[in-house]
Amino acid sequence: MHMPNGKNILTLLCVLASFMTANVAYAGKDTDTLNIGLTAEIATLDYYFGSGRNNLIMSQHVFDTLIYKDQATGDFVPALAESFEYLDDTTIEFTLRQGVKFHDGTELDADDVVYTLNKVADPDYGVVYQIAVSWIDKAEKVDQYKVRLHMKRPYPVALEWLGGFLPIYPKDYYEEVGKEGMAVKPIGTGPYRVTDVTPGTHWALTRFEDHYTESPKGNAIGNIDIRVIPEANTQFTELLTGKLDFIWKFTPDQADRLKGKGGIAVKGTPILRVVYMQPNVTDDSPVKDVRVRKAINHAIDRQTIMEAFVGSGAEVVNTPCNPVQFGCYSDVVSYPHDPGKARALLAEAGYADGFSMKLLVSQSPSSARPVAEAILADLAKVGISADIELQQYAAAREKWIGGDYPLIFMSWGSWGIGDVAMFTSEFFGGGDVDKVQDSDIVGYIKTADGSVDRAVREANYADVMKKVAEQAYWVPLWTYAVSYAVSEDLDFTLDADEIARFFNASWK
Amino acid sequence: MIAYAAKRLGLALLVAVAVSAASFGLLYLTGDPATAIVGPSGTDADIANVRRVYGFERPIVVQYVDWLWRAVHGDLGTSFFFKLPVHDLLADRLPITLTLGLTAIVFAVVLAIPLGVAAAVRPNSLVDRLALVLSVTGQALPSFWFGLMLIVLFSVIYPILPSSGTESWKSFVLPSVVLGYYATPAIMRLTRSGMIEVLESDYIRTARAKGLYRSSVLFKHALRNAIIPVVSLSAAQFGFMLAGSVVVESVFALQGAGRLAWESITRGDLPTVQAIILIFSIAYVVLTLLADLLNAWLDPRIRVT
Repeated sequence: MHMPNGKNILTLLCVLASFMTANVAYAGKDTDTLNIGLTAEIATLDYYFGSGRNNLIMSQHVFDTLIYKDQATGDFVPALAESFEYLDDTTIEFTLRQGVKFHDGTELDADDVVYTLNKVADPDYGVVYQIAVSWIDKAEKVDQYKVRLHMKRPYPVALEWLGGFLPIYPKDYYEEVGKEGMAVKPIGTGPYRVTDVTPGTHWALTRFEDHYTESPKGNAIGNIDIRVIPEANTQFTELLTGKLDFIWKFTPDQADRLKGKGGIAVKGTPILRVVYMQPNVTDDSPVKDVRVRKAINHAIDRQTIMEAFVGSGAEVVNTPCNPVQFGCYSDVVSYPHDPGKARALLAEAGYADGFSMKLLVSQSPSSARPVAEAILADLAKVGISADIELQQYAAAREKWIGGDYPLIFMSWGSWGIGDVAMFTSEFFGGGDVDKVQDSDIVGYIKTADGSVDRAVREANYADVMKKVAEQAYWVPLWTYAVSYAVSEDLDFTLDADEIARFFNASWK
Repeated sequence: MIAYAAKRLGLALLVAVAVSAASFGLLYLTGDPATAIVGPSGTDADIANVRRVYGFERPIVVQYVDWLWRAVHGDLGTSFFFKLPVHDLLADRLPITLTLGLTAIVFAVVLAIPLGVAAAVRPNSLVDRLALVLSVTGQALPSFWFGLMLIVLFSVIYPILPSSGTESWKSFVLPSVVLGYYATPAIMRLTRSGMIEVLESDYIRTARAKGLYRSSVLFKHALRNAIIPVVSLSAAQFGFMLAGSVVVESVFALQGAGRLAWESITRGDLPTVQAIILIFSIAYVVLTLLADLLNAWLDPRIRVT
């Protein structure tokens, strides 16, 4: 189904709505309720069985993790654990905070932590993201407030997962209600408790008064009300008439039209997501030739296309990672926009008259098609023509793994984790989606991913980035930025990991 | 009449099963459900694990028969996405779609049939022309645009009706108008052409010659015959409204079954999609069946053939 973008409609809506805003009361602040409009539905509230960004956001409000990653400093600060210590390369010991209460009034102790971690680490339990738990060997209770976590191997990003993606469940409650109960009536230790759920439609959260006082999370706003409003124009109407206080992920042109309307503030923030094209070097096609891959890199005017389609804060990149991630070495060969050089390289490779191919496009980011069209227009100028095949992410991934496509256009969010182990390793580590299968690179990645020595990791990732760039195994494009709009009564800033932390918001 | 009804019912059941089997196969063509469940951040290991835990590696026929067997016994399965029983989800969503569909079809019929009769009584008159304009507009207006315009008018400029949600009857006014208006032209045009044909027939002339009231001729004699195809069409339109209300549900943020079906397809939530397709195809089949039976009652000749 095609949902029209409706630029003109939006303009009209905004003009009409701007007449109205003068006498609109902003209901959110008056009732101490932060009203949020989302485009996508939140799946089950049993975090380990959900997927998608909104699921992560919800879990951070309802549940807590052992430690917490401070987004401003990048440090891991105490949360449910008041301290932790590496006993050796594969063992971390956590000392739990005493007196932390779950929403049902019971107190957290080592049994809850050990139960949760062991449960989710069991592959047969089937949590959706095995990558988040597969490094865990087992959790062990030392005493009522001490837990030891054993890893299968030295794992450098363990703290990243522990600091936001492994919430602790109440053992007794979860054993009693199971997945179905947790899906609609979750109980956690988080700053907000869930008071009402209509699955896929509406979620009401209320401040948890007994949330532990030393928590790195706040809960200044009393209530959070989340509704799914699929149509962007309806979201804009409700934001402009004061029925919503927060919406996000609209396009830059929509952002421009919202700017300057009364009662709201439109903002943008760069996030970890990176947009790119990946060539398939393992199957026979023109891109098997390094000169063709270099020509493709030279042909695309990345700066111009990025400025037209991505919000402010994005930047052009030269490696398969986000420059803010650990290990994202960027001092590599780059391929500036130079159509003449591209044509020369193609001629050298025997494609003086160009060639045609299929371009697989994954519907992620949502504006994938127009961006892909712009890239194709640049490629056409050097003689490369391509047919776009647009697919949902699931289908695109499957087709990519199956082969038969020389090039895919996609984006990657790295889980919001600032470490290239979540990015480069996925695409060059020798797995199914790795269509390069370069044994040198696979070796560097294996060393880097399996070491806790930052210097070793940095050096090996740098080798990966250098070789990828020299061989043009990647067509790096740009980082991504998210637009969002808030009621001007609301003090809220979106973090770069694409997780909206409403527990840090307050009314002005 | 009973033999006729039994024959129709048997056919109807076959259609419903055929639709669900075909859709089960088609869903596999749109992408691997395991990849869809894992979502854009999944790794190969995640996907392999989901495939194993959910039993996707079994042959598709086995999966279908397994599903059908349980569905017949009242177990529609658990949604992959929500991790909730599908019947709980449907209990939330179906009433919304049913309410929307019913109010929309009532709006459409109440608007279309009088308009069609009025247009037929005086063909090519001003009334007929106005009715034509109205129906062409209804057919041509994209429903998302019409919906947004109504929101601008009745939620922004004159804030008397809500632009989203399902809190009260007021929430259904705008979406019902948008959805119903789309069905109006077909019903109106069919009423008009049927009425014109019937009004020219001999028995109407006879009825008039007998000196019957004009209204009696129009509604008792003419409309009863002219309305037979309209009944079938309205039933089909109602079925369409139940299954095809996705756009309207999106614009007005009504979380009905249509929207649930659409979303569930994109995230590969097979149990939910299958249950909705089964229910919609049964609803469609039952509506067609009811229309056939209603027609057989209106026109005794149909029962014989």
